[in-house]
Amino acid sequence: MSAAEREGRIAAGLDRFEDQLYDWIGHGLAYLSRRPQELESAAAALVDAQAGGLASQLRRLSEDPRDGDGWPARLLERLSSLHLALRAYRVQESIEPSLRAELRRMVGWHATRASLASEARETDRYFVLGRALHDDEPIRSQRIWLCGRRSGRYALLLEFAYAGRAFEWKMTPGTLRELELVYYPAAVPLRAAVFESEAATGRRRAAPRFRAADLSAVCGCVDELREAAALFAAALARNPWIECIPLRLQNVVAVVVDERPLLCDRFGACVAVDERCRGIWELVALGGGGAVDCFGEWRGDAFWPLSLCVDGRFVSLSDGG
Amino acid sequence: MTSVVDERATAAFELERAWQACVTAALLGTERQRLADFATAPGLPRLESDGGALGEARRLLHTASALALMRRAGRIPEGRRFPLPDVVEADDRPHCSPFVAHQLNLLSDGELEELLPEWLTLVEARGVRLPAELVPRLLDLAARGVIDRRCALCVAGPLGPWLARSNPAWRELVPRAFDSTAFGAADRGGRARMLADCRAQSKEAARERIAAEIAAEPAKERHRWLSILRDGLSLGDAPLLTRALDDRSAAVSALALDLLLSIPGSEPSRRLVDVARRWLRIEPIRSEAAQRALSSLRGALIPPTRLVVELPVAAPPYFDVDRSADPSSQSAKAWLSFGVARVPSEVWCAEIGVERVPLLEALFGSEHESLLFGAFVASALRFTDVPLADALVWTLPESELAAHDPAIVAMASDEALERTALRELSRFSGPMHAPPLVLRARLERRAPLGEEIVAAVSGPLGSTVETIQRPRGRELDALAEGLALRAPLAMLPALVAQWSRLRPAGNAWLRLIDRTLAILAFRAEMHKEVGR
Repeated sequence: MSAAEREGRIAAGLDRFEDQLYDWIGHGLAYLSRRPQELESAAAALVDAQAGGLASQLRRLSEDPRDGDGWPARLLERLSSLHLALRAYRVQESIEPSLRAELRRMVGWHATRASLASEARETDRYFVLGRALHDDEPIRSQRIWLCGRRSGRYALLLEFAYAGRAFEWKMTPGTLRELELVYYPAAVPLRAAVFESEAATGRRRAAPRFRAADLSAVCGCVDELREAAALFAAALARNPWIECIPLRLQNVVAVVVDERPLLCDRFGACVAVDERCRGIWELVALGGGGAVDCFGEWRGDAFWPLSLCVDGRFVSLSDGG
Repeated sequence: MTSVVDERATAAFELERAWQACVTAALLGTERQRLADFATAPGLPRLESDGGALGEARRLLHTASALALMRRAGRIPEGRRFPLPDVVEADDRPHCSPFVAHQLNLLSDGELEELLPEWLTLVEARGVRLPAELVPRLLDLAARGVIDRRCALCVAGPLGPWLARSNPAWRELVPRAFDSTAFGAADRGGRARMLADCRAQSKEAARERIAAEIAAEPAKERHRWLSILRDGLSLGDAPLLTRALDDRSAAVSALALDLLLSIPGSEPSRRLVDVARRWLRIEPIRSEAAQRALSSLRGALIPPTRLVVELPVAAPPYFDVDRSADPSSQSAKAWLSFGVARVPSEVWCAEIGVERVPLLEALFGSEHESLLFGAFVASALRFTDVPLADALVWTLPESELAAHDPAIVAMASDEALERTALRELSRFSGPMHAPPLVLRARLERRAPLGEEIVAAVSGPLGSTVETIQRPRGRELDALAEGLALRAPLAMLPALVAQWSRLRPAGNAWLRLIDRTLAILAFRAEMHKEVGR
């Protein structure tokens, strides 16, 4: 199928999906919540229309629990974000190229290795700061967060594995890896592909571990949660679909109040720890009521901690590899 | 003049109000609920609907897209409305080696969880400190009952109780002071639970609390509260129970009597013992049939003794008021059974002048053999009489032991089980399909086995593996695993050598051999690393 044919197929698929969206909103979210299969079949139709990216977002929606108070707002927030993507895709020519590239990937156009070949390459020694796993049967994904020792830039390696297969990238948090990365074109460039590594050049050896102190000189931290929120807002202004940004929070205290895990800064503000984080008690234990430096994903309403530095040690949290 | 703060607050309020209007309309459906006119994204032009349902849905999604984005971008961290916790006190113990910490991960993640208690005991004895990130895992294991709570808290150090207080799943691990206010506010079930917790920590404190408040409780609760005293019953509980004998509820007074009869030295117990102590005596005469029965059981000649029973001529004290007795059975045998079950075994030892084993052996061939064995089993359980349980385990044939209360085997000491198991194994010949009951019971315990029993088991077990095609059931798996888990440290190299050399008669044994070797190897490594 040529690119033009695929483009036409996607456009037709998005038109049908948009009608479906209006239909759902017309009938009401209460109606939709009783028919999760409609989300599934709409996702399947998007896959047929070669818009796999949007399809997987829709699938995640169908798995979101419909209990508690917040689900209608959560569902509306996600559907309206999809709606925004549909509308933006129609007028993509008028969008700034880096955001356009990101939008197209979000819809389902994969950036091939060849298409990235023309992008600038960055060779550096990268701190492996954290690894988040997500099991979405039959597909598993891992997000490996890196930070360049020389550049201080964050990079995200996103990898998927099907049906129990192993991930290609085995990077242990706490180690340093010499890599040549290419960033995917994006309004907020974070996702990267490895173009060359020690393995490819035959220079592979046991990855050295870094010291917690090595990080402080390179990867910048924020110690005020309001500042973290401002950084996320700035990222959202550049990419309205961004889900999270990597961040090192400095001098935060991990507590559990009324069974709700929180990170508190010394300015009297707190942020919820993402409920999907399975290393919450490790985080609280490591802090022991004292301040820690914590790396993770700032997701707007919550923070997903992946690793932390405490007493001069770098510790990767469970679920963070 | 309106301040900047006020303007921001107003904008935030408007935005939230508009968003809530969107959510409400979306939830009900724009076919039923039109989006409110005020629901617009601040700073953006208001979108007009074409009036139709489709246009209304489109307008809602347009507005919601902008509002959702504004809410995400404008979200500020919430203010802290609680004090930060105290920092956990410093732990001065030396850190354990990374490999020892890694062992905890391996043991709790893999199939060797059974080794955790031994690993924990080693770490506790070594006095080292685990990395803080592993303490939650330790508390989880203690809460699940995989490892000992006290030992886990000791290894966890000051961080253990500090963490446990924050997590409801671990809160029970930490001994708590009795909270009178919470006790007053709790419902009946909660109060009983608090009293039981209190009893586990301090018998005296629980007794005092019960004594102070029991009178105001209804009969059902008075019964429940007195039952709590069964845990750690002692002579100190007698005054409270004696008062409860006069309780207006028959069930409560019967329970009080039953408990008093379980306290050696209490007034009711002494009264009963005074009457019953003359019922049994031993004479050095035994019938040929009894000698034969005993000799076949023991494989040795037993000195001819017999138990002489003087049947009671009247109901013993309390027979008619104790609800556990059968008052309709007004026979000498029923009185005998009732009395013997309520006399501590040391009374017989002192009165008759023999130890428990000869006393029980003298029962064989007696007219009342079955009845008295049952009564002695009941007595052992009533008084938590471990020496009597040991003697019963040694004396009763395995088939009868299984027929009586299995709690007797559970109560017997490690040494008694091993001694009895050795005797049973000495009578074994050929492949060992079904290990003796006492051996199985011993292997279920965490305490290390003696060298003698390990040697006695490993030989027959090995030859079974080499002669039988496939195991029957899982009993031999449990036996091999128990042996590997409980063998003394000094015997590990010999066992590894023995199991490595085994030539199994069938492939069905391979998994058993691999697992046994894995346990033996891990234990050897564990002792080496933790002790380093």
